[in-house]
Amino acid sequence: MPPPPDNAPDTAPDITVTARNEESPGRRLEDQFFDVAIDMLCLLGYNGHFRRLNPAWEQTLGFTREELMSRPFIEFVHPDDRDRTLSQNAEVRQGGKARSFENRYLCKDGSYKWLRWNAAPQPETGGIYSLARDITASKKAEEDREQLVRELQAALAEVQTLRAILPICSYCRKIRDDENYWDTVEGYISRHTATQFSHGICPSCMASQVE
Amino acid sequence: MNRSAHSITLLAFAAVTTACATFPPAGPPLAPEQEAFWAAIRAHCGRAYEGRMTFSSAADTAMAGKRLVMHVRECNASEIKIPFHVGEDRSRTWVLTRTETGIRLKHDHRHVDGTSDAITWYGGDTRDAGQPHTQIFPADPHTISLNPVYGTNVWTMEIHPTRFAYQLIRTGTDRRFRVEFDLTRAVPAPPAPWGS
Repeated sequence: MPPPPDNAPDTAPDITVTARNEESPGRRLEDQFFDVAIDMLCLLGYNGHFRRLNPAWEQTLGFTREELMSRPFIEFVHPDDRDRTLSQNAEVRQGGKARSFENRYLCKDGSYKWLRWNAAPQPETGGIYSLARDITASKKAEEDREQLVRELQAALAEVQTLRAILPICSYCRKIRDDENYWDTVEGYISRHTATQFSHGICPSCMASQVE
Repeated sequence: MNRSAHSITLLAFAAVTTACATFPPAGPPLAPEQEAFWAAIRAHCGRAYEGRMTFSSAADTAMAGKRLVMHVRECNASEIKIPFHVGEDRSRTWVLTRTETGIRLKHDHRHVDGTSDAITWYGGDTRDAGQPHTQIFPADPHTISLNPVYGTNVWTMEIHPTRFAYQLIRTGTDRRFRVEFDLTRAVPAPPAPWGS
């Protein structure tokens, strides 16, 4: 695992700020795009602190940009995702690119959101340019779908259990299980499936047994 | 039939049977449960059956009251095409394909002029062997790319001796649709689906 980002002061010049001061038309246009982007754009310093964030960060996570820039970025990452996030971060710093990397980020209310990232290094400024997208809803949908698939598979397995040939007593109608134990039909089915029974009296039994 | 015509017929029959013998027996091999499922559907190739909705949510009311017909129209070694006609709407075809990992279900949606609908070719692949009578198809990445909402779709197909069922469940919503077809009574084959 690569070493975590150091917390030393970020001495690399923020060219976005410098260039913005120059007020070149191209830079103004870039700033405008940066401000209106729906996705989360950022410049992350090699020291592990955000240098620049667009407003979408505040709208998505609830923290102010000042709050997000005041702590190492890794503190906002879900503890279970930190190791692989740092590995990915180190890979990008060494010249690699991140494509569709996914991790969870802390929100102001304590919940987490799933983000999907693309990132590329900018060695001359000592930073990583990144774009993140909130995919929490699709992740939730994916989890719901997987849960349904598991339930359907389990239901099918139960059906398969009952497709076996069951030895049943011709007189008392009890069923013999794999352990040679004779059980009632209700008991057998209840033990092998999620089926539950309610008891009543059918019309013919009502006539012959009760009346 | 005169003798020469009879000979030509026999020759033609021999050529066909020889050609059949050299065909690959099937597409990629499947788990036994899936082979049984595939064979059970393929046994109905060429036949059409009428169905009825046994469950639908508000989103599917457009199909209510319409005649529903499935037609096991085209079968080859690795693909089965089943147009699903809703009244006069012949835009839908279920396409089952044998893959290296199981069975794939796709939905081929066409306009009346035969061109593809913007939302088409969605579906998914089986994840496990399933059962000889039922296969489960969770939405695949292409389906999710069409619309993230479709990412929660899970389709099932069931084939029993007397009944075929197609079902869609969209998790996290009330979207659920199930149609069952009576396999005991074939109906006249409907016209070809749009785009065929």
